[in-house]
Amino acid sequence: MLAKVKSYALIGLTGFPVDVEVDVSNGLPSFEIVGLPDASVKEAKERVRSAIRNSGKKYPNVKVTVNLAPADVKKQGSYLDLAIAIGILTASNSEAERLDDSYVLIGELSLDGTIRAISGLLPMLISAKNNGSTKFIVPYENAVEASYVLGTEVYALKNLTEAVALLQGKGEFEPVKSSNYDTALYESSLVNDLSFVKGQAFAKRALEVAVAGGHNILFEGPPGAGKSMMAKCIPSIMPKMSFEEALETTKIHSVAGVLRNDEGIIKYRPFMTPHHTASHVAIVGGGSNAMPGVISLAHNGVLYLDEMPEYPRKVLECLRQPLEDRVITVTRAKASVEYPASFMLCGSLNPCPCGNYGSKNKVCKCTVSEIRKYRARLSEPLLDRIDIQVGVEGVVYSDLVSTKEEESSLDVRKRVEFARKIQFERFKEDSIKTNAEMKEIHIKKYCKLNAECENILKSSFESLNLSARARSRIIKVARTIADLAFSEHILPEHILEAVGYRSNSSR
Amino acid sequence: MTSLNRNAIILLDGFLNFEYKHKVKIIELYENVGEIFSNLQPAITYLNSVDCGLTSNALITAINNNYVNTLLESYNNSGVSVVTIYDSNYPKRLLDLPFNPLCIYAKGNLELLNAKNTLSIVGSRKTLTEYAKMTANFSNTFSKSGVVIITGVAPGGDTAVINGALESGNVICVLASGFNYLDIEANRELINKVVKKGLLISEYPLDVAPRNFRYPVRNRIIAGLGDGVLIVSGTLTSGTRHTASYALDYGKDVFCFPYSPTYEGGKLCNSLIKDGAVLVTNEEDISQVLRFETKVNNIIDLTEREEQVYNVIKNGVTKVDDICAELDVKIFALMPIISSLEIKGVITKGTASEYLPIK
Repeated sequence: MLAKVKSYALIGLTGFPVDVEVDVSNGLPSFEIVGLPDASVKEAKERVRSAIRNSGKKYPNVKVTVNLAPADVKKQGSYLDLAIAIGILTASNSEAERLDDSYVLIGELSLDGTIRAISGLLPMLISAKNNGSTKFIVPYENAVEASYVLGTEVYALKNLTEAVALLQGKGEFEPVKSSNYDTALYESSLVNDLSFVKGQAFAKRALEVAVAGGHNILFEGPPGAGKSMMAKCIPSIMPKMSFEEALETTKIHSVAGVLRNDEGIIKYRPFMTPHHTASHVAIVGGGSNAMPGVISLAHNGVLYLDEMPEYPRKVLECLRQPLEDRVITVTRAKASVEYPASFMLCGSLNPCPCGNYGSKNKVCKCTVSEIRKYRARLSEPLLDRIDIQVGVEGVVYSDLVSTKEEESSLDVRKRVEFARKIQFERFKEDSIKTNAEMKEIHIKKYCKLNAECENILKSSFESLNLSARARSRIIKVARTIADLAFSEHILPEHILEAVGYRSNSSR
Repeated sequence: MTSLNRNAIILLDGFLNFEYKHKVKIIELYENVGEIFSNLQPAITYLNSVDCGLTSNALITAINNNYVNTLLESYNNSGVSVVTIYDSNYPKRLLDLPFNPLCIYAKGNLELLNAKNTLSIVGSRKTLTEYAKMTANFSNTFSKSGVVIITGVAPGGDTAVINGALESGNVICVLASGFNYLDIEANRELINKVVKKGLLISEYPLDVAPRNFRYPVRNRIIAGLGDGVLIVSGTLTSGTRHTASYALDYGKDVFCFPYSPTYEGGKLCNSLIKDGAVLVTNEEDISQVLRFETKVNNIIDLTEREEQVYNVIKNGVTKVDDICAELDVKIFALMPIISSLEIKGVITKGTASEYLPIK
């Protein structure tokens, strides 16, 4: 007897339908799975057999052949277990009544028949829904995740017995209730709030400008000045993610297997801080399963590289392409997967390897070539992608203990959101979302400068030794400053302020 | 006779392992060292009697093979001129010094060697940004008024000097190696500009590699060529101290920028001032002592707001947060003024996120 059960699989962030065909025929007992299953799928044999038996169902002791169509695409993961089990039960006709085959079944099986949670459910459901599927059976623990895919009938079940009952039309089962992307919850105060950072008006302003326009930012200063503390405040002033952005980000985290079961959807913009020893693959993505890397996990959020020159050159260099294209293509032997990687880069830097260069009271023990080598780890092309560089100095004790009211993240975020709205309107017809993403063509269109502004740019080039590429960076930042000031045109004071965020050193 | 003397000294200088003191000894053996070509004996006797890096056979072979011409040709091909102590354009300031360089290898404008007014400016590699900017301004002002600036080629202080002086081209850079061996730290682009607009010199033939001991030795030339020496920065162990002590030995005026008492990188300057060097806060301090006629343009055109901020900075309030507090302005209103002051060249961003006046 032949049975066909619907399931789904993933390549990168896109799901594709898998038809699980099960053929049960007379012959010596055997169980073969074909259709390019990888190791974890092949192991389904054992899991399925035990799950069926331990659920009190009859496992057919005959020749069982399972084909995972399309047969030329590699299948990996354990979530086809449920579909295979149901397929076997259907094909062996060991259930008295027919099982409904209009459901898409996704889930891993435990030896005792429990349906276990899986990674990557959200992207699968989204793709399946886009392909027209409406009815699903998924693991119970993935319920919250599934609740955000609207317009579907999803049943989150605990075990194989329940699944069979549902498919037989027996028993009372409620589909998962759709969740509302409740942005109201976002208002709860986060631990890292700008009001805890004393002083640092300059750095805070730079941060506000950076987040408002999506510009990458580099903090430079001695150890202990507060660079990391400021960086951690970034998510608290970033505008809330739209539902689409949240879904995008959640898909990636789901595929990477880092989504918490009770979370369902990622509400807060991710803030990723990879360790210096993280491998190139961990950062960019890859591995035999073409998993997303840290830069993709930071999609729609922030990638913070503390003490940037401490990262291996190779790792820093491989950031250049995603910073430019906002996506990363992970190529493996048989597949090429594209993951989104649109993040705000924030880096911190000491003035020299020992950290004391420029200090009035501490002695810098570094030689000039050590300092040069240290700074040279950040290559010119990489620094080109960083629009804003700002110095952060240690705060004096009196500032630290002062009771002066500091602006809270909420206040700053409101201004940032206004500026983002302006950009949203501006770039409606274009494919970009923020000022930082503007290319020459956008700059020409949206950043016209009057004569006085041009003059200022010209004099700053002459007296401040700026490079040609600095020009676009300054104009883009000036555009954001103008947006924050609700100014339609870029005025001289906006250009002048933007000039102040240029890099310190001329190499 | 001059040309024979000249050739003789170039020949002796061409032997890279032959030490200075022995060359001097050989010169003393003759009334005119050019006689060496016709009367080798005294030289041979000397070379045979000491172990000095040159054998008599090598000298004989060289003379027989007209090695001098080979050397002169190779110098010519590399665009290098040789100025010996016997030449009329040898810098007169160096003639009177003990242990003066016998040959000077040069690329660029030889006329600068005997300029009417010269000033040597040296600084350490780790010169603070604000001092480097001031140095560049000084170098620019003096060189534009005709004073030839002498300096080295190191990053930091020396580079600031060169950048300031390139506009007028009145600059001489002294290397501590042969032209074929630029130090790893050296900025090739900058050196090429010096060759084009100014003068690059060395007392070492082309293939001599830089070594630590050559730096203090080179510093005597820097000290010797200047009418005065301005020390921009330096720790107590910085190489710049050699230049200062040569200057004192040669009776040249020494000038220094003052530093805050505890800053390591300026302790050399402070200590020299204590010992009598001239404390410098503006160009007049130098031009008055050395009697240069230098016009200093001190007129800066600032708006009222800029003037206000500039005064606050001049009074020691240098961190942006503090300036905001002092003037009770918001940060985004202050930043444009700061940038404008930077563009106008009256302040600079220091090494430690603060703004310092440089005029």
